[in-house]
Amino acid sequence: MPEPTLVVTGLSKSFGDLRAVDDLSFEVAPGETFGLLGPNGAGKTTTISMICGLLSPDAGSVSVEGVPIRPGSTDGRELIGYVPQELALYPDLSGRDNLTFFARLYGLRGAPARERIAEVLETVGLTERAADKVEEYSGGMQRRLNIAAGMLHRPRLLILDEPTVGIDPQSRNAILESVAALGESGMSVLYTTHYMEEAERLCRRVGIVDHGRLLACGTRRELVALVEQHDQVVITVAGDATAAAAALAGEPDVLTVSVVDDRSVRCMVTTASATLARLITRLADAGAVVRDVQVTEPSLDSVFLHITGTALRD
Amino acid sequence: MIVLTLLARDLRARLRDRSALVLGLIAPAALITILSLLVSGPQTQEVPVGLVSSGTTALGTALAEGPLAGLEEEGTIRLHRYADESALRAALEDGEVDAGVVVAPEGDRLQVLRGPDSIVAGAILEAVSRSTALTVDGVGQAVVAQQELGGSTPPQQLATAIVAAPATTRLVDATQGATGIDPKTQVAAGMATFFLFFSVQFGVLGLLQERRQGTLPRLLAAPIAPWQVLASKLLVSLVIGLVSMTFLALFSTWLLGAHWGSPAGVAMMILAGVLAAVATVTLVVGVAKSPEQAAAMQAVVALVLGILGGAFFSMARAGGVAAFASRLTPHYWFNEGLVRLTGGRDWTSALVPVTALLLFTVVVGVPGLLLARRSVRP
Repeated sequence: MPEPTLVVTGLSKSFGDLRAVDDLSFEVAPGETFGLLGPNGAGKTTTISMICGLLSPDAGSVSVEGVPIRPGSTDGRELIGYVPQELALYPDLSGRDNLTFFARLYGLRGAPARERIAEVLETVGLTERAADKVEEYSGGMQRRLNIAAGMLHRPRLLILDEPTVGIDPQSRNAILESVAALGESGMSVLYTTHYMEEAERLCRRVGIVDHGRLLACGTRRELVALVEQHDQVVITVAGDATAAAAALAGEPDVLTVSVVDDRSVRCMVTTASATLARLITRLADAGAVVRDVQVTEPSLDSVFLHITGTALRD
Repeated sequence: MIVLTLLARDLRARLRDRSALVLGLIAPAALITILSLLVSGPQTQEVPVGLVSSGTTALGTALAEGPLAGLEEEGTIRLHRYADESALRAALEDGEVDAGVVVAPEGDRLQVLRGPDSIVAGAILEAVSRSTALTVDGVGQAVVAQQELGGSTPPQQLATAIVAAPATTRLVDATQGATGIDPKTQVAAGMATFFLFFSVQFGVLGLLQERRQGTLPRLLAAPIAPWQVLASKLLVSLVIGLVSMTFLALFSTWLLGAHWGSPAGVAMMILAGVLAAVATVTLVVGVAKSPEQAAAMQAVVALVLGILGGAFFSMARAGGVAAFASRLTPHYWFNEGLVRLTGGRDWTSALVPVTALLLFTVVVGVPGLLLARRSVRP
């Protein structure tokens, strides 16, 4: 098994009486996109600040590719690409000049720098506007350039702190596509968000954070299993829904059956993909004509609700 | 290398927004030009002085050929000769002369006449006349004493010998340093140091601006030590300050005829002055919470230090607390350094002011650095 890109162990941080981060531990594998999902104030940004070496932890440690990351030391910083939640760009410079400056901070100069800048501008779709001042960019374009600056030096770990906050859906989609492409290119990505759909779309594994604590961590399937959530199958029939429900009751892997209305039944099953064909066959055997089937897998939303006892707040 | 990269970016930004250019070069140069034209208007003119003397008396000859001739030669007075007292009085009434002196035909009396608005000219003429009379009296008394004691030296020979004899009392110019700087240089140096405390803020203030615009966390997440970020900002201030002061010194020298003194000494003074200014703005940035607050505080500090330090008028001459407070400012010591450098003195004559400026830099800059370090965080 390859060595994890990021190892976070027992990270804690308090501000006065507030315990912002409480004994947080997780790992990010090479090429993995890992999501930290939690509401505002959950401790995500504090965690990221400690991972980047911007903030001293009260306890715990961080290492990237085995190199310990500590405030006051520049060791291992070149392994990390940081995209802060706030825009971190010089508005009076052009997009290209911003990238040139940030490239130099990582020792990237001359022709290699120009080539790499052209690459990342292409990745974030800003080649056409590279010569324009950042202050003339739209919010979404600024966000994309913000990401470009973070990945410019080909970091082993790219950290994105809520990169889609406050932008229009079109720009958000463009950013999510860029991040997905990074994950596919083999870069490890740590992605924090309080948007469920972003975590579901981008991340192979997700850590659910609230009040500074990592409440659960795993793939969506693992998280769902953890909270004993099940797939839901709603079947609409041409005939009597009550008869259809009776036909499905007692089927293996069918946990519960209920009538939704006079034409629909709802079944809770362990795994819809493994059970669905058998359910339809059973209904056909019982003389029911299936008109429609809807399968709903448990969402992180429901997992979050189950784990924290509250819906994900903004 | 990283520090130079940060320095280059900041300097480029300062050039682009032109604010440093305006406050560091254009505004002070414009003010220096205007104020120099004002102070170089009508210069001190020769004071017209009248003399009535037959030219045959010892006193009249001594006065006309001695101190009055000397003052006329150096351009302090312009001597007009009149036939008699009434002619001199008429000239006084007409304003042709400011004051005059009448040597009695017998050579035993001097009469000083003053014009209605020429108190100072009259007083000076009286002092000069009195001094000459005392000298002539002294020679006369020596001749009489020699005769009474039975000496055989002819009176004329004795008088000549007495006048030619070396003085027994030496008059020594005990002024420490130079005698002062000309008004144009005073104006140029005053405005340059005054604006220096505004222009240097564009470097260190960048720390708070980086925090405001969110770029500081990104810088600190890169392989850059916090001290490198702070050092780059200090260097920006230093460079802006040095460029501003050097430009204004050269500008006022070449175009306005100011005399700053020995180049080595002036360079030393400029470096020490800029360091003091950078130390001041560092302390301000260390205390301030936002760029706006820092800019406002720096403006107040620059104004107070400028006024106290004599950028506009000398507070040191006011005496008492004002004079003491003035000596605590870099502006005072910068001006003092230039005063000491005038008259062709070399750079060593400015060592005391330079030491004072460096002391100010340490006293203000060390706590400033400690406080400003807190600003180098996300």
